[in-house]
Amino acid sequence: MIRAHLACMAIALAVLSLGMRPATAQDLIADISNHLISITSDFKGTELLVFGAIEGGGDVVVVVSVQQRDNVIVRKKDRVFGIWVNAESAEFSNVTAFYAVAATSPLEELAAPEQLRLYEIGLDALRVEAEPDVDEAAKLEFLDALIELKQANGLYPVAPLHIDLVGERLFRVKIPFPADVPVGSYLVQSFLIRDGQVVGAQTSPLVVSKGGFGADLYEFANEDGALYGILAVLGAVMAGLLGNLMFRRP
Amino acid sequence: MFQIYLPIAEMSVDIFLLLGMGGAVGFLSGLFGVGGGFLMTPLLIFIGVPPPVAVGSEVNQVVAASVSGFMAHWRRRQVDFKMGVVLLSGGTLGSAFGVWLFEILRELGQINLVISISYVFMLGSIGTLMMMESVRTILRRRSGTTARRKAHVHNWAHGLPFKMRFRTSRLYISAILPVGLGFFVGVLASLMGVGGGFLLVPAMIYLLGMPVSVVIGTSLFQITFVTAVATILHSANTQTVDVVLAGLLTLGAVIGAQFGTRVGAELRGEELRGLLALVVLGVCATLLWRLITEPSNLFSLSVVGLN
Amino acid sequence: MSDHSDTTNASGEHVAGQVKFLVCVDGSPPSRVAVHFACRRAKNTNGRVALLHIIQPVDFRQWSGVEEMMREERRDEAEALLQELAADVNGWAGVMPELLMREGRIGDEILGAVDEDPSIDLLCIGSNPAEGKGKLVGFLAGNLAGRLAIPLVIVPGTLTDEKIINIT
Repeated sequence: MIRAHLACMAIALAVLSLGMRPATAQDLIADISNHLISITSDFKGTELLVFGAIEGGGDVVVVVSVQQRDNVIVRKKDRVFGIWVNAESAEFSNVTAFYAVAATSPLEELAAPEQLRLYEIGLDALRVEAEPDVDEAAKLEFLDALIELKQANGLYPVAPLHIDLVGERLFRVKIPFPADVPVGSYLVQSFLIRDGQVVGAQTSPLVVSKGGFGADLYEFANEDGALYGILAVLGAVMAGLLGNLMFRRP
Repeated sequence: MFQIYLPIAEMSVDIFLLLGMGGAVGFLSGLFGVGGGFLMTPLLIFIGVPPPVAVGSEVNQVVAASVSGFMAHWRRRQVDFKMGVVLLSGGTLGSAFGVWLFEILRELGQINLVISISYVFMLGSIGTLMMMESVRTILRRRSGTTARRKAHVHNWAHGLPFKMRFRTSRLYISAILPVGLGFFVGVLASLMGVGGGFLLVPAMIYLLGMPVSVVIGTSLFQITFVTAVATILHSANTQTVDVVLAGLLTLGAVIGAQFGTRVGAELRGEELRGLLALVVLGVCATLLWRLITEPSNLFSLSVVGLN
Repeated sequence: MSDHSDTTNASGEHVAGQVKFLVCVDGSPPSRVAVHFACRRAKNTNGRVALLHIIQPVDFRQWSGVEEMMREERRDEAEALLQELAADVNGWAGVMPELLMREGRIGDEILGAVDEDPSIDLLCIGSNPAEGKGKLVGFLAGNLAGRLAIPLVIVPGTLTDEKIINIT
């Protein structure tokens, strides 16, 4: 699984380098404060610091994102015989599970929409694909709903975060992660934009994973469900008998 | 205050809220001699546990709630094991069918709806019947007459084939009846997370004609094993069994049930039964209200292959 | 729940000096041995015998129809048991015993029965030595000092008829 993610990253990097105009490697240097975020049972959200330096001016955009491995179904409730029932639905693939963007200037001032779309900068640039059976009108409606729900859950922060450039060279930005941040192998991408063109990019991997007892239990339940179930039954039997024994009276 | 993370439900809940709920439902189940799953699952849904996880975890808790009762009746030789095994064969098939149906409904995005509607129907009919019975008994007591019930009437069921002899129950009846009954209760266990004693006990008496002395023990035998099977099948296929949730509810329920049994031994009131009927109808009405009011957001997301 | 009824009271008034044995019966072989013991003792001391059976309270209360049926069935079974044992008592002791039926927890109800009838002089219960110290024996022995004001006789279920005749 890790190998697959590394392959994805390599492809992403290859795509990035293909589309770029030549710029010296030293023009953009970026790093992140932390390469592993562990979600334990008392996790209440965290912040990731992205920092770096640019050479020769320009604008900086930072994108933090992770793809959903499985397809996502958006369902819409409708009233049937007075009851609210899931009726219409649309299935999407290549959905971004978490997407945050930060920039030194408003995105629309930085580059043309085509350029932004090429690098998936901004919510409008996300390349979500509807399954073939979803018609165009439904696609628009359900995609809007998908983005709204993600925004409501804090998984697509609504406004792009602002990055300050210190002395035209140094930048730093804190990306907030909510408590229910999805797990997965994230990409933290930093772009250098000059004259409406992306001229430099750097990608850092970030792993968000569950840790602690809860995560072990979750993994156990999902990987060996039958054994988990047998142990759950044994535990219940023991608890039931023990509880009764403790309180037993003649 | 003291939040605990439920790993399968993927949410944090106040630990004392869960213990309190376990205690309250345990008290009622001790008082009335029933499992309490039919109240616990809706309560879990009300506090925000995803309905599939509420069902999977509650069916696990019912194992704990019924096993000691089964052992106690076993010791007193009040279990008809032959009848229990026949019921259980139907129950195992039923719970497997229930889990299969559960998975399909989840893929269709209708599992939450089906769980809620099943509960509205079940609680609605149980509550109404209990209320009617309670009112009738109170009226009868006031007028001073007593009605002695006829235990078992010969009916159409005696014409069915595959007759079997149940020595402990002193019965010679078609195996189709207990297998069918077990199947139905097995489906309820998988789909709704209940043991089904509230239905099984009267059905065993009135439908099968079993002597009441072995009914409770035999029903507990069937409930313990069917909920165990349903727990394992749910764990293997739907991953909806949250052992942390089930464990906390069990802890509360064990303590609550002790008090319930004690109070139940002192009290004998038709009014009490009427009160339980009101609670059942109240939970039913709340579920129905949630189904008919417009949700704040019509859209919802689900990931394919996950709950 | 102290729901008790005297079904029969064949024996006469309490006579001074006449010993009254209360035997707890549940239909088990040890309890029969205890009845036998009490009968022999009563016969030899010109005493009387009372049989007490505790009906378990019904613990399924959701449907009153079911609850009522269970209570009736238990009552019927209890009555049949007491009638059957009464015939035995008549054969062994030559008198009809007093028959008591109470509903509730066994230990509490036995103590209640003893408290309510001051003419009871001796409490007699059967035990099963094969199963070790029974719960009832343990409970009564433990409460003997505090609440039970009369002697408690524990009759092992393994006692043979000859032995009973011998020691009584």
